Amino acid sequence: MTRDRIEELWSRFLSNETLSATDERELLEALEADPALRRELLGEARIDGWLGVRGSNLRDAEAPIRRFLKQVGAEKDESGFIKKMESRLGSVTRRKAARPAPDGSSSWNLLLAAAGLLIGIVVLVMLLSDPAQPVKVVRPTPTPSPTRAAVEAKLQQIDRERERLIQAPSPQKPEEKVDRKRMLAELDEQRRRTEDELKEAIERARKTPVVAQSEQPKPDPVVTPKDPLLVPATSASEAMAATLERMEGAVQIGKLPARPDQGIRAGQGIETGAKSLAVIRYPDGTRVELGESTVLGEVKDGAKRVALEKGLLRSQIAKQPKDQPMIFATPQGEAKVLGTTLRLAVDADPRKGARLNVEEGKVEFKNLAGKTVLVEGGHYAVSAAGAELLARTFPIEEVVLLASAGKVSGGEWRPVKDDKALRGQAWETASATPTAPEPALWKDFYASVARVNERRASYVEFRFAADADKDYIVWIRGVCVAPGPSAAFCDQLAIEGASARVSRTQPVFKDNPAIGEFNGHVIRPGYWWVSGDADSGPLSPPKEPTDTIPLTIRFSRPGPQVLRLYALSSLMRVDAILLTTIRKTRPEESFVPPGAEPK
Amino acid sequence: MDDENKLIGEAREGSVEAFSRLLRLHQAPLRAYLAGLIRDAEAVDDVAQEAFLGAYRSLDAYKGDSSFRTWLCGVARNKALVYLRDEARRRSSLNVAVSTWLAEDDDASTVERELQLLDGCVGKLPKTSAAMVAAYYQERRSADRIAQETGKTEVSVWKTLSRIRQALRECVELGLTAEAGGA
Repeated sequence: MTRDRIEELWSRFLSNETLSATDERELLEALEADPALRRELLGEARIDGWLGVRGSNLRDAEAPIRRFLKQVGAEKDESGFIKKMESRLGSVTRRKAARPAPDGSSSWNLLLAAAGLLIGIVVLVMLLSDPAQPVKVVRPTPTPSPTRAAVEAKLQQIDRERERLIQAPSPQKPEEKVDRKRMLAELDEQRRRTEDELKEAIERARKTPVVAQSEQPKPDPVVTPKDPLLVPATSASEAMAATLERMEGAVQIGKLPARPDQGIRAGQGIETGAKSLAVIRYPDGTRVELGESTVLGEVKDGAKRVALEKGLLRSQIAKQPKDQPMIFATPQGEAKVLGTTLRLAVDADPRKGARLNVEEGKVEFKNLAGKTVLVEGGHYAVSAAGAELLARTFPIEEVVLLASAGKVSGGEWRPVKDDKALRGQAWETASATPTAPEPALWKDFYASVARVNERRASYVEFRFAADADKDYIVWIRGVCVAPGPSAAFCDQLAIEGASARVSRTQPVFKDNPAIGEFNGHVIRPGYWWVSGDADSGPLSPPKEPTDTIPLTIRFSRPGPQVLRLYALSSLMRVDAILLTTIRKTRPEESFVPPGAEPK
Repeated sequence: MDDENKLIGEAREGSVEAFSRLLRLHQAPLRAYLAGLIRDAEAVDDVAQEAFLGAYRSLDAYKGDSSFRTWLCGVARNKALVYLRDEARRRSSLNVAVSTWLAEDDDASTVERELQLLDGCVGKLPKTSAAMVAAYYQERRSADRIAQETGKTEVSVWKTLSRIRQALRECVELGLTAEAGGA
């Protein structure tokens, strides 16, 4: 077994893919035969296990303790407790040894996802803002304290040394390589320690006992009072709530120019100027990214509350205690992060108020009238004057189906690599003999149509989500690749949507309302977009494509949809299908749909 | 440490509260330690609970020769081996063999430091690798889904994850070696 093969099987094993009995046996034999390889791969397995629980352990500290207390309580209640527990251990995990699916069917997955450590929440808020009112731009003028300056200088020195090592010619001798690697690791460790020193200094300053101003104790030796970052809080409400982790451009904290790593006291506001951004981090790991021209009215710790007055923010939120949810307050409403497996986006339509989009998890959204609605993943809600506060599913305006997303059934389609195709992949029709005389080609065409009608046809199937009762224009991007005179028969296709109706039916398909026909890719060279029949009329090829009224499809049920692509003739390639309510006219040949950008 | 010894003393005298406070200090690294041994995430919590109970019941056996955490990890490892023996009848021989090798080769005394080093190493990953680690391990997306989102093949995602894990392993080992050399 080659090393490549071993690595592939091992990766699949770690990913909890099911290996065949033969693969398992071969992998086991390889591991048994080579102790060095075994050590290497076991090290990787250990890393895999650690990564799987990394962080969740830190955030989920109480659950195992509660469980322990419950079990000890049971022990006290039951004389046969130990036996019971031993018996229970025997029954531990009859479950399949599989990584929990991302949709989280197992309790472990729920534990990790729901109570997980730093669970990504993406919050995107765009509020009613007045772009005409520019944020006062003040360039930051850092005035580091001697201590801070010394630490920063140390960090810079470490970075310079690291850069020098990296830039130096690669060592040739193995021992030199090891030395270099070790030196880099040492520098990294030094940097980490230096950063820790800085953080500790900040933390010490934050924890300095609060007394009356006149009785303020001497600052910690490493703290310089002139440094706003390290000045101890002067009141309980001004405790350091967060840190400015990153900034670009003009950023102000409490109306003063900010600087990187600056602490943000509770109650202070943050403002970013045009073409600026700021990232703040809370002690629990929650990150909030502020876009340009954004005003955060206040930052509070404890019952964590962020008041966004205008602009845009994006946030990754750590799991919050149940009684202290993270709150995003806006002038139009407030979003309270309740759940734990959360990935959400909040934005606002300037005309309609504040809008909350929740991608995953649950968020409680409250409007100014005090009405609340629970918004779950895949839903949105709008808080605006006079509008009813309801959670609705996301509108889907455009769906891009690339070749890689299709699953083939039968032998009339084959996947091909094609440099000119989007992402280099396309499906090629293979249903007929491309060089046959015309009557034979027609015969093939009608045979293909019959197979579609009789549900015997081969197809490429796409599964995706789309809204119901919405007319999606269907654009198919394809190219005719048949040689010579047979080319005229290369470009006939049909689509069929499950629980769907197309805007134009065809007699050959017995006017089946779910089937639409496509034709005419042959009239232009290269890949281009066609919607319906682009090659009708007396002239063939026509002077201009004849699909002037695009073909649309309308699904009767919202959510998961199925679309099948049938081949009616050969040889044609399709690399993308675009369902859109936005692009009413033919996309340019150079148009690359979202998500199809070259890798 | 004095606090910890005090808690151990109180727990020996039967204070569940004191033992709970000890658990608060040690449960996270202990569960991470088990996750490095057992290839079944769900079982980790169960075995960890058994270890907590086992440790609570046999606290008198802790003589202070090693740190309490190392001792706790030792208890956990024994529980893991019991679990694996039991599981051998139900799981694939490869899965059991790997977990058993992991448990037998493990050095509980370094796990805490290794986990700290791992945090540092993850922080040093290139942006794309860090994103993939986050997608796979934190957001729990499948390799298949990541492949679809990134336009890669599933095999390519597996291989990339494997390379990242190998790099992290080397980084952690290098950190340990460097510390051992400097000690």
